[in-house]
Amino acid sequence: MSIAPAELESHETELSSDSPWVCLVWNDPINLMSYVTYVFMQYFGYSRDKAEALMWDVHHKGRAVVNAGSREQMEIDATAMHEYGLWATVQKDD
Amino acid sequence: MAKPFKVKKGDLLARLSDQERRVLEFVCDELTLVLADPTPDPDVPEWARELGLSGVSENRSVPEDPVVARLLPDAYADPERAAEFRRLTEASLRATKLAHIAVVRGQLHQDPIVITDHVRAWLAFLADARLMIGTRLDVTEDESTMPSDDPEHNLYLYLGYLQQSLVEELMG
Repeated sequence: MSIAPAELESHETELSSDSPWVCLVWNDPINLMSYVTYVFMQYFGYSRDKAEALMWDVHHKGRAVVNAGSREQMEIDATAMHEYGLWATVQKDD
Repeated sequence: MAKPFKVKKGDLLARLSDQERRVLEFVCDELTLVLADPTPDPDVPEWARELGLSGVSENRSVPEDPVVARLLPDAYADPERAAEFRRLTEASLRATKLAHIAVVRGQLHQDPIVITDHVRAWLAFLADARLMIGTRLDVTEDESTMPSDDPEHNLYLYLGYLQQSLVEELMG
């Protein structure tokens, strides 16, 4: 599995446009890559390709924007990630 | 070795030996102890706590135990926002995690163990169990640095094997 950097870039742009808040998932050495991919598919309803691209983004860059929207929704998403054992934070999109 | 998780006639089954069940029961109990709130709010009655209505926590700081800090992480980089969010949500996150563990623990006595309707509890339990042990072992992404004869490390690897098997069966 390898993902072209250009594809990863377009992800971020697509997610962050017009959205003032983002949910970030951070890399950790414990959660399995397959598990992280599955959580992104299951919770956000992302395709396997998109979920894997985000997982690799987390793995290689240390973090990835997994969703963007209202602050309230990002807090719901981050809490759901914590329920799954992933480490997520909410921040204003700069 | 037979796959520990297997879809059979439309149901997802956990196929675990007696020894595996005992090990997982032990892990459930340990995780429950780690997640138990050390300072329950005295104003919240027991019945409400059991329902997960834990109220608003007064404890605003990051848990001192690194394991608990990893299981209940900050949701904001900004310390003030993180503390406020923790005050509002930590108790219910604890309760949700404890409820997942209780579901799994209850299922360990069933035969067969049909997890079809409890997949999220099993996923969360396995992830949290690995976070607990992995944080204690201070694991890095390079697993070759870990001692191979350490029982705690073997348990960590076993839980990873279960997590991988479950995810593979779910993704098909």
